[in-house]
Amino acid sequence: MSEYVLEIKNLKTQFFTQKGVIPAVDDVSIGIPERSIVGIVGESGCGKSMTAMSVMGLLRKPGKVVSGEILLCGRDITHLSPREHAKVRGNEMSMIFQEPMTSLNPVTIVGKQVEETLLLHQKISRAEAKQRVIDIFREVGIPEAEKRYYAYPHQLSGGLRQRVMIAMAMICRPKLMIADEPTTALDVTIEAQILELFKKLRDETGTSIILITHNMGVVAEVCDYVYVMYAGQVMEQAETFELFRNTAHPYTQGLLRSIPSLDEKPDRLYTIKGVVPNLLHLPAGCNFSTRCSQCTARCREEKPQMYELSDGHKVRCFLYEKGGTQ
Amino acid sequence: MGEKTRTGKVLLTAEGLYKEFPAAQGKGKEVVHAVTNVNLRIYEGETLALVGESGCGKSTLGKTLIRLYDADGGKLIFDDVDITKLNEKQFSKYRPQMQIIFQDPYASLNPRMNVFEIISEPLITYHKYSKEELREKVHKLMDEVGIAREFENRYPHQFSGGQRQRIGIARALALNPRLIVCDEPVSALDVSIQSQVLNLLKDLQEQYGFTYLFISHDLSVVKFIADRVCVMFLGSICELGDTEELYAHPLHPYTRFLLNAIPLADPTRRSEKRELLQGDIPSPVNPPSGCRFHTRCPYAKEICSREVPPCKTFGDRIVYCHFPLGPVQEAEGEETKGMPEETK
Amino acid sequence: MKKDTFDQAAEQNKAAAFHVDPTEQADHSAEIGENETFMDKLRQLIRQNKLAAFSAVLIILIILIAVAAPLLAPYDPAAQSLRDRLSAPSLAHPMGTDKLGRDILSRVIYGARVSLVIGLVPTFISMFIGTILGLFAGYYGGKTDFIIMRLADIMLAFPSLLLAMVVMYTLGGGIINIFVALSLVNWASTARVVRAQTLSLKEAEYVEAARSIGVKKTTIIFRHILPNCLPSLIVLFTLNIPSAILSESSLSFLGIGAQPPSASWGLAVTEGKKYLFSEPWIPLAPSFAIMILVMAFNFLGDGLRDVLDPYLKEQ
Repeated sequence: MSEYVLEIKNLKTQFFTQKGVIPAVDDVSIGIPERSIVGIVGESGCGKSMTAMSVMGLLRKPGKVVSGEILLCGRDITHLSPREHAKVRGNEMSMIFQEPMTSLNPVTIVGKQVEETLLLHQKISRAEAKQRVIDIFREVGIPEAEKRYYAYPHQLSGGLRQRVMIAMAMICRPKLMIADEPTTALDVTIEAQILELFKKLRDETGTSIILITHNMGVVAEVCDYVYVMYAGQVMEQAETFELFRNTAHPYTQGLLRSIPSLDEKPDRLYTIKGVVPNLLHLPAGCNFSTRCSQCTARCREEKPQMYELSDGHKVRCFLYEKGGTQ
Repeated sequence: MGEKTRTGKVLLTAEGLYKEFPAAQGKGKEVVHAVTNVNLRIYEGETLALVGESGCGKSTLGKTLIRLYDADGGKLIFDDVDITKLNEKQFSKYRPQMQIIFQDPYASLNPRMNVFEIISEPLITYHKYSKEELREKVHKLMDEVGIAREFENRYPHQFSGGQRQRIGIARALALNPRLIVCDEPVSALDVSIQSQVLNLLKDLQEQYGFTYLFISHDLSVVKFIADRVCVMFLGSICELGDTEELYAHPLHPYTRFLLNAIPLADPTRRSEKRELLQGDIPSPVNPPSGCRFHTRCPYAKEICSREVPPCKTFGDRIVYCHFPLGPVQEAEGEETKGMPEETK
Repeated sequence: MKKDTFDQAAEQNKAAAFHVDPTEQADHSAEIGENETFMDKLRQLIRQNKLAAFSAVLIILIILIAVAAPLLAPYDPAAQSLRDRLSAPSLAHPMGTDKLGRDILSRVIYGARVSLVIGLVPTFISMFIGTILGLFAGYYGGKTDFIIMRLADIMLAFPSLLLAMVVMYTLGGGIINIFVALSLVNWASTARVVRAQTLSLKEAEYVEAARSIGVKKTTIIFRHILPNCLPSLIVLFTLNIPSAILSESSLSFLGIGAQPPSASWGLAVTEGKKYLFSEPWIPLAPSFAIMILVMAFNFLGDGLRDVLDPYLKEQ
């Protein structure tokens, strides 16, 4: 199984709050192959960000990885100390966030901020580091890279700031970059540019990217493989073309149908009834049973497993217990 | 053009509307040109969408149209009355007729007021109801938007995003307005909740004949809800026309790039070499001269940086561009092609 | 150095990470209404900040003592007994007696009344004035703002004790005049805080929503803005009380505050100061009383600020 850059096995992350234990990530297994963009898609509260935080070792109290393994290039990083985690972070794996402004220091020029990350992990001279920063600025498509080296974060547009963040994440040539809703705060024309950049980075540097998003369009556009999450669990996983061609899980189907399409103009949109369940009071059966249009008595009582539909396509739904078609 | 616009009367007209703000970090008297020379008609009963990227002034325009902001120039005509210069007292007659639904359901509800207080506020501002009457009215509104009556004593933080947006909608409906500005009403919501709220808005319009000005950056949402679309770039209108036609045959280059940039939920249509706009949106503090889009436009010629593009009409379509893409999707701007008469 | 900056970056990353997290959880907690209310926050305060909770208990205790002073005090605080003058603490007089033979314990108990009233009343008056002026300055802006805030600047430019002294010299001593002096001195800081908050709340979307409905300006101020300033005001109130108590003590110490035979703690310290080395209990008992009350209010205020008001914390 060493072809995976990152392998998450049966990860459980829980938040121990006053009101009870919140199973933010519940038995999630994810494999990230080399040189690929893997999408984790879901609505707010589905655990997609918490999965990423668990991997990065950025969980905060009262959150805790309860069980499972996280393997980065075959090495178990589940229980690293904060210090060891910090060494891995930024070097072998890195992360970018939705709003780059919160991750950039407003009073330091962006070039220096990227440089610090590099100097922290590699022993090279300042002059060399600066050159590397300017090179990577060019690589991620920052125009006038030498000039932008001296810019403060507020002098850059949202799109450029996100590119600086990507530069910072990529400067040590990590094996893995996790992008948490990287384009949600950006406009469509800028979003398209950033997505192109992701594809380019994958093809040219071989870095694998985990793309966390709620946008099915973004997934369809750039991802090689997709995990659909709902209420802390992976509901469906498949290669992108397969997922959109043979959408299996009722939740994924509903999600895709409720997006307004550019091609047709229906009178009403399809809706998934109800709201996301409270993680403190999950249904006894399938997590989606409260909103599912094909829910049966069994769904309300029993938790479904992941069933293999075809090679690489797995679904957490009783409809596919026997594999194959419905 | 949709039947609503052909038969409907004009509800709101904007003529040469300007709005400027002092630049936040500006030195001296720099201003942000948020809305520049906007001419617009909204017909009774239609849904007109304002689309564009952040900072294009669509929100500002929406709020200026209902006089939440005072215009710095131009004229607003609502229901055949010039409302531009009305003072607060005179305008209070029109205020209830134009309402707004905000983007962020977390920020637009006062955290210290319960649902009943929030929905009843517009009612008690204009009318004197007895307790029973008020209660009945509020309950009716809550039914209308799908919030259970027993939640009337709850506070906003006790609801999910979708439910809060419904409360915001109920507040906007309370005064029985004619025009409702929907300022990105679903962009803060999850996909599955978004479709519920969009359906609700559409149902309400069918039932009560509201006119919507629907502000959004999401072109697929706009496609679903709007009869006509107005595309904005950096404070100016680029193009305006019937939704179907505009999506099928964009005339302004910017519209085309905007449509091209939308990631489609269909990997088979993944565009290998998509036409992408390069560069960033210019600053509204120092907008480019001439056509504001010319710095990003691959078809720009010398005249584009010099002269503000004139308003050209093609039937029901309005385009502000020196070289509009041909009506039948022909190649880049043919000047020779006979342009129909210009308006204004 | 480099290490530092990266740690900083990591911290920021974590902060950003946390940014993602609450929204993720807010949505479900929202459905059954688990988000924090004021009472929740108080409960949180009691759990997390034992010192603040203890201070709150102490303050309540002192208030009860003040209210029940006639029942608790073993002697009449004004009763003189020249035979027992300057006696050391004993069973009959647990804190000893002063130069007029008055029981110090009784005087300290009665003094709590003076200090609490001095702490609460002028603080309340000054904050009331400051809040109103701050709200109007912030919401209306322009000339209103300019006049009110320049006035506040002038008030703040004087050392407050000096200003209070000037007022007291002009008006003479006595409790009512202390109220006036302290109210006059302290409104400006409240006005500043409230104005700053009004300025940011004015831009809040729900205030814009109220304007879009056509709600009157004064209604917006008192219905939408004021209630959202309340957490800061509560914190500010608890933090202003000790400074008022200290000011009164200082004024009384300087002889222009409470006048004899009042049981004011400040006055007691003044009267006892010459016995500091011979009969130390005379000045020390009221000094400790002042210290305990002031510290209790400060700890409570700090605790409240941590849970209620991240805004004030940054100032």
